[in-house]
Parts: sequence; C-alpha cells; structure tokens
Amino acid sequence: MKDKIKKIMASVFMADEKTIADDIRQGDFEKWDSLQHLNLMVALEGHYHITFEPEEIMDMTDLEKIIRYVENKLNK
Amino acid sequence: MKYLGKATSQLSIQEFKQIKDLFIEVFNKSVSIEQLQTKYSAPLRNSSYHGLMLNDADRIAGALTVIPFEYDFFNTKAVFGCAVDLMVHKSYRKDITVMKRMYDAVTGLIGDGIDFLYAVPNRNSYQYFLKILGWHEIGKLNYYLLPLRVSKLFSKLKRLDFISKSAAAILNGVKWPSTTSVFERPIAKTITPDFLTYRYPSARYKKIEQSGKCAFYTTVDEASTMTAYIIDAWPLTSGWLSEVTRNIWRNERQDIDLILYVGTTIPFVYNLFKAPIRCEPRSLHLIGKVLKPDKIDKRINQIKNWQFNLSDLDVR
Repeated sequence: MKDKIKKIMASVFMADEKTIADDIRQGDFEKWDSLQHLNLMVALEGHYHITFEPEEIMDMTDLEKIIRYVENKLNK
Repeated sequence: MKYLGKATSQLSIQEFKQIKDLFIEVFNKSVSIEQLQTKYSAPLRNSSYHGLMLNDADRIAGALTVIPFEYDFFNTKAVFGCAVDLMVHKSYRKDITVMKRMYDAVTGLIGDGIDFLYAVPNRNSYQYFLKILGWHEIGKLNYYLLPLRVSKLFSKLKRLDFISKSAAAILNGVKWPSTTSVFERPIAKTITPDFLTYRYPSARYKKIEQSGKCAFYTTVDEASTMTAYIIDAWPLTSGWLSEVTRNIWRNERQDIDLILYVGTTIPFVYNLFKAPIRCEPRSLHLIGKVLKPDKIDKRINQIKNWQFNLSDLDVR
C-alpha cells in the first residue's frame, strides 16, 4: 500500500516518485501545500473508494498517518 | 497568527492597503483601494464581512470576504452572501487550517445576518469548500456562445473563420421567430436601482434597453480573444436574448471574436449555442452552504431552481 500511495502522491504533486520519501511530511515537501493536500485526499478517496472526514483530512500530514487512516477505512 | 472577523466599515485604510497588496501577491492583479471599497460596499448593507488572518507582524496575510445581496427564494426575500477573494499569502499555504479559521472568523461575524452562502470557486479552492468547509455542490454553470472567429476556439480552424463570420451574419441579420414566454426560476437575485448602480459602475458596461427590457454586457480581452460577455438580461426570454445578441453583434462585430453568456440554463436562443465541454475555458461550479436551515431548505441545492449568471458574481 505504501508504494501505491507514494505513486498517487507523486502524480498529484507532479513530482518524481523518487522524491517521495518514506518519511515525507507536509511541512517538508514544497509542493505539498494545503490545496494540493485536498487534491491528494480526493485522489486517495477515488482510488480506494473511501471518504475522509474533515478532521481526518486535516490530520493526515505525513505518509505514515495517511497509510494508517486508509488502512483503518479499508478494514471497517 | 491571529484570526478575526471585520465588517468593511471597520477596515482602516492601512488594512485596505494590505488587502490590495495581497491581491497582487495572490492573483497577480492590481486593484485600487477605491475599487475594493466600492466592491465591498454592496447596496444591501453598504458593507461586507471579512475573515482575516494576521501574521506575526500584524499584517493581513489571508482574507475571505462575503458580500451580502438580496435574493428571492421561492417568493420569500432572503439574504445570500457571495464568498469572494479567498486569498492566503504563499508563506502560509502549507497550513491546511488557515482557510478554515478565516471561514470561522467570517461566519462568526455574520452571526444570523445571512441565510445562505454561495460561491463559484476556482479549481484550487473548490475541493476545500466541499471537503473541509462542508459546502454543497449545486451544479455546473453553462457557457452559451456565438463565435465570430471560430479559430479563437479551435486554432486549427483558422481557414474557417469566414464561415463562422458568415454564419453569425446570417443568424443575426434575420429576425427569426422566437418565444416571449419568460424563463423564471424561483431562486434569483433581487434587481434594484441601487444594485444596478453597484454592479455596473462604469462606462465599460454597456446597457441595451428596449420597451422595459434590459441587458448589460462588457467586452474583455481574454488572452487575445475579444469577448463580449452578456452579464445579464431580463426578462429572460428567448426573444430578448436573441435581440441582445443581435444588438451586440451589430455594434461590436468589427472588434470581437466571441459573444458569451455564462449561467444556468436559458431558453433556446437561435443565435447563442451551448458550448460543448471541450470548448469551456474552465469548469464553473456553483456551490453553497445553508446558514439558516429553518429559512432555506434543500431546494436551494438544485441548480434547476436557480436563475444565475455573471451578474451574481464579482467577475467581468
């Protein structure tokens, strides 16, 4: 799942996949601003057929958290 | 960072200057303080509502404005707020909570003063309104156009410009039969003399009048495509829209490439065509949020109930 999400992130941020590190955080990655963050959420929702709540969206500020939220949704 | 709500009447000249500077930074667009003051002094209350974000130097680094207007909602008068000029200085765009806090500041200031909020946001902020602020999609706006130079829409068709010009001449040179039945919708802005003075403040808006019927249009250079925008026309009948289009063609055809009307569905007009999606410059979504559910019910979320065009917005 991590690789798939990294691929989605690279596509949304229009960045080279190699630049998406395992410990990527919103604050450290220039192209990951608040509006791209929303685009990322929409892309994840579309890919996994899940829906995030506003509070979840605001909390998903690094790859680790994103994976955790997606896994939780898929396991429900 | 601090967040606060202020009415236009509470903004100092210094704060207007900071908003003006923010306009340049965010939209790369120069506006004067007078233009901002005029825009935010809509006739209903002579004031708008602003959600502001101040940086550590106490300068405005983010803003969201709501301009109140009077609307008819199924024969009841209501106050709708048009959300405009959402701006965040690039230094603060990482923080996903900034817009939410400005929104909370402006809605806190509004209190129970507005029944419904609407916007046609740009592509960037569209998802934010829906997913974070909990707004609803009402529907997509349509583009209706008459191309005078078809190559401005399809660059490969340059050799066919004479055909589009001839077609426009035929369509506008003959008065085709059209209906006079009025295409009224139950949700529409209230047009008052004060609103007209506010919305069409300068000579760049041209008025077409004929026995109680009225329309406004303006001509804008859109990346080298001279476009005549029909901002509004009333009554909204097939016959009057045709007449307005013909009038613009007659007066402006030497200088324009396109006549355009943007809005909710209009009656069939023989000289304006609904643009196919691939010809739309960008997708325009009308979105909204009910603030007083006891007054504004779910019928607001159906685009078929709306009569909406560029006159409802702050653009063009």
